[in-house]
Amino acid sequence: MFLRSGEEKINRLDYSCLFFCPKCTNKNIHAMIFQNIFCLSVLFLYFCFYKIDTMIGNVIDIFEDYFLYVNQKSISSELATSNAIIEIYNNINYNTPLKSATAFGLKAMEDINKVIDKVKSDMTIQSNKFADILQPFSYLVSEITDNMQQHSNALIGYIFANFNTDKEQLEIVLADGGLSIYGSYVKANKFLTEIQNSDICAVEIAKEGYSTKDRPEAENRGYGLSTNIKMITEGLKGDFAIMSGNALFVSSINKLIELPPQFDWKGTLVLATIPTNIPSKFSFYNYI
Amino acid sequence: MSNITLKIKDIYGSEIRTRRTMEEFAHTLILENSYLLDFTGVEQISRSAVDELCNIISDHGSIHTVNMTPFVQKMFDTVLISRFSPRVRTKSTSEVIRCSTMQELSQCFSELRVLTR
Repeated sequence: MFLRSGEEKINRLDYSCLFFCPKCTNKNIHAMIFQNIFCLSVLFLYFCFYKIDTMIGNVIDIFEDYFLYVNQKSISSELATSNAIIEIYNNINYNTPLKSATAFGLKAMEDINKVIDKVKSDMTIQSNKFADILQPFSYLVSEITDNMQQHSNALIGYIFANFNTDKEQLEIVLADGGLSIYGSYVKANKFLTEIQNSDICAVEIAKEGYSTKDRPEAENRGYGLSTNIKMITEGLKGDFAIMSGNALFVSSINKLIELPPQFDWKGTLVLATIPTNIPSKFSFYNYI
Repeated sequence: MSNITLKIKDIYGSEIRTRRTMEEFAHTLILENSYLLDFTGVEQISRSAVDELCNIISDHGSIHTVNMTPFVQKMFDTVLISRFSPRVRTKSTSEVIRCSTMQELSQCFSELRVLTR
């Protein structure tokens, strides 16, 4: 991991950093980042994509680095995320901003649309192969953003995206610091027996499409997450991970990991890798 | 009562991404009016947005749609079919691995890494 030795540093070129937060009036990037602890957590996970000796696209490695670092520092759970991010940031050449990393307000559709359009534009500039997966990208971002708006009770969402030209795949993180999946079910007073006071159980039924907001006459909702998992993993041979509370799900190996108590994501994070080498038999419509 | 034609692209753009967009649209409607929604130029629409639009159409009673692109029409048809069909779930239960310490988590990741190679 790039921080274990203290000597490894990340050198990144030509990133464009776009941070804005409806609550922040200070446009200084450093101040904005330190003011927004949750943003730093997601920022750290994004940087994990770029660790030396990388296994980019292997979500297991990405998450393990995050957990190892937090654990190394023996930081209390309340401060683990913020301290980890601050220390990491201090080791980074902050003249090298990120590629298409953005916070966005969840209330106004104009805000969300502007951010997503910017990400699309940035990814298109990074690689013309992005056009091959534009449809799945649009579907993923639309549905996960919709989930943030409908269920998280968060004011701000985060999207980090990068096109990995070596592996020819899109790597994308969407996250919020809201209720978590478990918290959303509890707030709606739905499926309490199924979730059993457990983030693990909550993530399990969420990925099967159990929604808190079905109409009385029909199970019309809950397709966004379940269809994306299937489309990206089975259809496109990519990977999809969800971290919510102390539950981590990795779709490519179909495992749910209950994390140690010191790791508790206050919200929900989705990480997806989408290869541009689309299988010949893939049809988007088979997965929606 | 008025018959009103609305060009969706002029109001919401060529890509309708979330259910919230349709929820906001619903607040602009008057029950007594009749609406024709013209989808000319709308290239993309999410499944959630279509589902919400179906809710609106069902609840309002006097809304019709025209000029959907093939993609939008296909999404519409898919959502309509699923609304009136029993939900089929894969019922694939994921294996749960419980890690109470960092050592257990590292061990878990070591074993799982083999599966991902």
